[in-house]
Amino acid sequence: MADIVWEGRDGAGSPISGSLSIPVEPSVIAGLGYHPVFEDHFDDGQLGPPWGTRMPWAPPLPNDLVIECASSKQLLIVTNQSYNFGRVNVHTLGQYRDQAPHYPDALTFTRGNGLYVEARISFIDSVWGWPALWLYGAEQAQVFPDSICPQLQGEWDIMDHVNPTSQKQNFFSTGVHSNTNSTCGVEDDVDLIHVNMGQNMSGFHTYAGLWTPDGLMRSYVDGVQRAVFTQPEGGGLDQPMFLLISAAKAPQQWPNPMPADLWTLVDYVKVWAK
Amino acid sequence: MAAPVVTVTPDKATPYSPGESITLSWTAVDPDTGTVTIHYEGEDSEGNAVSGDITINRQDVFTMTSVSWVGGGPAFSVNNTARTATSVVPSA
Repeated sequence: MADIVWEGRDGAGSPISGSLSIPVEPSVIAGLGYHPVFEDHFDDGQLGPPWGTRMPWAPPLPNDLVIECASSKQLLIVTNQSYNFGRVNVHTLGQYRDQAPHYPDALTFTRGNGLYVEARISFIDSVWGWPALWLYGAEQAQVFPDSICPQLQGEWDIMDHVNPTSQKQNFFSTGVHSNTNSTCGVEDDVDLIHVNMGQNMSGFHTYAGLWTPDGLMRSYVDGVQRAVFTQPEGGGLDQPMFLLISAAKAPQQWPNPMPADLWTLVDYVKVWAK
Repeated sequence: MAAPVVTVTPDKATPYSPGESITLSWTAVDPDTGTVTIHYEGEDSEGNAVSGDITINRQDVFTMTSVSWVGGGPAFSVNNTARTATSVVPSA
């Protein structure tokens, strides 16, 4: 959406003002026939449906690690040294229940005739940080700990800030997994691309992914394509996928002290489909 | 006298593309008198009586002084005679 403000005056010269919003296609998919299917600008102050934070394989999340800020209209995700699991996910699976399927109100997405995901994100300027915007196959989460074999576990990391170098803050990283964690005895075929952006990337940038029926998965930063993958074989991505935004502690151990809090800040998320 | 009720409407409801032209139009209705109803009566070609009402908004005085994109974008051109404002859609 784009917002417009107007001002005028009546016959007595008194001021009158107002505003309106108009729907605007993201520039990457402008004119391609996509339509909006989900959008959240985090204006409400409460992280309502379809968002959730509980993963079936992780303990319940401490309440203070995910905050939707009504004043700034942004979502703040924090992980810290006291949270042993390390990774904090905000996802579109919705509320968790013990009984399978664990997420009866899950919001999921498939490639279909085309899928476009975009989010505007900022993150901590620290090599210890591991922010991510990603899609993950939902079938395992729905039935955990039961097996879904031979269905494999696909994953699309539209933005995965996990570059293992000390210059990682200058990089944009993106990747695709055919079968995360090599489930069902099938080795994961992972394709991860690191692009040196020549600038510190911790400030706000727009990250996006476009997945088209020809099997191409394109990754964008600020509307510019930075990587393209071919959808891996094996069918791991041929299932309902849920959206996640994360703040996590990097898997690498860095020599300098880890900050007390590692945070990811989200301005908006939008999903369009064709 | 109450201020007019101003309604600003874009020229289409479906998503715009960045770079696309957009024209806003507006109405300003007097909230006191609101609308004017016109009653008509007549007969058709077979001599049957026909009657009905037509309701129109009663236009109030309003002058648009500025229209702009939140967060920045191309300027709007405002035409108070035609009651329109035109610009180019920026990226959302």
